[in-house]
Amino acid sequence: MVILRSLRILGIETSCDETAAAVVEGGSMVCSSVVASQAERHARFGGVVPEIASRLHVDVITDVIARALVEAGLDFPELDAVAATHGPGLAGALLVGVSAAKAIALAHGIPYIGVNHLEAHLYAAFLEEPDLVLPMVVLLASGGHTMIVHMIDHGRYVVLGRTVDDAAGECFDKVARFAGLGYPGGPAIDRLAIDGDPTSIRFPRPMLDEGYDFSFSGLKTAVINHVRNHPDDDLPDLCASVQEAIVDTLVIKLMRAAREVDAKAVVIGGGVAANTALRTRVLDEAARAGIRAFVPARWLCTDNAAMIASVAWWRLHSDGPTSLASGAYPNLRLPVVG
Amino acid sequence: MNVNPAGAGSLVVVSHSVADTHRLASQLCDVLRPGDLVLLCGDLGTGKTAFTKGLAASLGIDDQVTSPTFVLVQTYDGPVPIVHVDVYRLEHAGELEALALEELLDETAIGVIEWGDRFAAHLPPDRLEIMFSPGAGIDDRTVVLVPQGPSWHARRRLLAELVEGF
Ligand SMILES: Nc1ncnc2c1ncn2[C@@H]1O[C@H](COP(=O)(O)OP(=O)(O)O)[C@@H](O)[C@H]1O
Ligand SMILES: [Mg+2]
Repeated sequence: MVILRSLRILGIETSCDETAAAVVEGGSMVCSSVVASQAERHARFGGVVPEIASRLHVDVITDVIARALVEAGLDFPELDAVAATHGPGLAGALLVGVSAAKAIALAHGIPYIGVNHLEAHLYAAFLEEPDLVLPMVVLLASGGHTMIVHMIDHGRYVVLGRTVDDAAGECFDKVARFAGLGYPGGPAIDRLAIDGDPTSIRFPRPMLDEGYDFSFSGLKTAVINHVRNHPDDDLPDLCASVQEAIVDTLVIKLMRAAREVDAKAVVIGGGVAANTALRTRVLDEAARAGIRAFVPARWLCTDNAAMIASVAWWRLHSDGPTSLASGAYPNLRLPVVG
Repeated sequence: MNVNPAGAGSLVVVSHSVADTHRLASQLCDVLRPGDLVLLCGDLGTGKTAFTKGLAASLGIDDQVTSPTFVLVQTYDGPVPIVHVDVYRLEHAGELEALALEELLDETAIGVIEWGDRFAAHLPPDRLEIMFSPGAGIDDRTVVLVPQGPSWHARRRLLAELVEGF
């Protein structure tokens, strides 16, 4: 068991925007983490597009892996296993990371672990807080996902709710683009909102009393209608008000879920968890409710490879290595119990 | 929903609610056939995804239809499957090619492309275009049906009847 504990795993992440590699020891000690963001290069395209994304991943993956090893002060023979995100995500992009990981596994005779990207986000918090208490409730919110997950134990999840239309990050991005703030829109709204009054415009909080599912298309539409009718409104006020509506909805449901399942902790993850107002609010509300809150550092919320290596450590223990014959799974879902 | 007499040949309806938009989708199911392509056009929040939800429900698809903006393509299995595409984030026709739509849009499924008008020239010419735009009231949407190509011109009468009977 001692040997397993100190396993050094190289994690690789290429499912979407970022090309990333990291070395994590024992599931939680980060030896290195490198993220080469494609967001800048994508900014002028207005988004991530599979053809472009996979080509850019190919361009930089070798260098990113090499930098992760140098930063960790290691060479390939000192690795005990290699992991990559194998889903969900864009097929072409996923295959870049999966192929690189399998090649390393083969060349150095070490196990390969294919990782579920959504599950990895659930594990990001463990990198800062290895003794995180379970059960916990995790809010996972990004450009493509919005869900509340009850993590009963390692590998045992129940999805309590998810979006029925747009994701929270998608709402941020679409509203920002409509208001002329460019891509990605989340950080722009976060920045501008600081100088705005969140109570200046009262936007709807859809489905607030309907379980744990979310609906952000109505909010998106309300904001767009507002911008159409009030083109000269103060931008910071608009941003602060939109942000307030999104954060309100997310946090109210997260806290309600935590109380209902009697969770010991609440955790946030995914790109939207980098939002300043969301982070502050989760900490405040959890303190008020007497529940522990874990708000991982921003770099752990957005896509990174340290979380891939972390969940790979747990999965290697529970399931063993993944076959080298397995591929990429664009529509992979979070494995749930029951 | 009432008929808008804008122009003799135009097929225009006004939807006053999401339920109206779902009803329109459901009635359109009687005109649609496997292998058909539908382009949904119109600005953010005009109801393209809402329309697709109605279509899926009427086609007997159980899955929750969500916005495909992030994933670009989502296939829903059912008696008649739907291939739900969103080209909002694409900027170039080359990127559209990378999606390999011709492989996805098969004979057995109905293809639905949100923001399809952005790449109109690069998509199969035989298709039904549906244009959504904001109406007078907050929940009003003007919906214009534009049949394109031989198979849809042949079904123009059916569409006109649908619009009239609404
Ligand atoms: N008549 C209507 N038809 C369709 N949607 C409507 C209507 N009235 C209000 N809505 C609301 O507008 C929003 C449309 O959002 P969505 O379907 O995501 O639009 P799009 O896909 O075009 O961006 C939904 O929140 C829906 O409830
Ligand atoms: Mg849509």
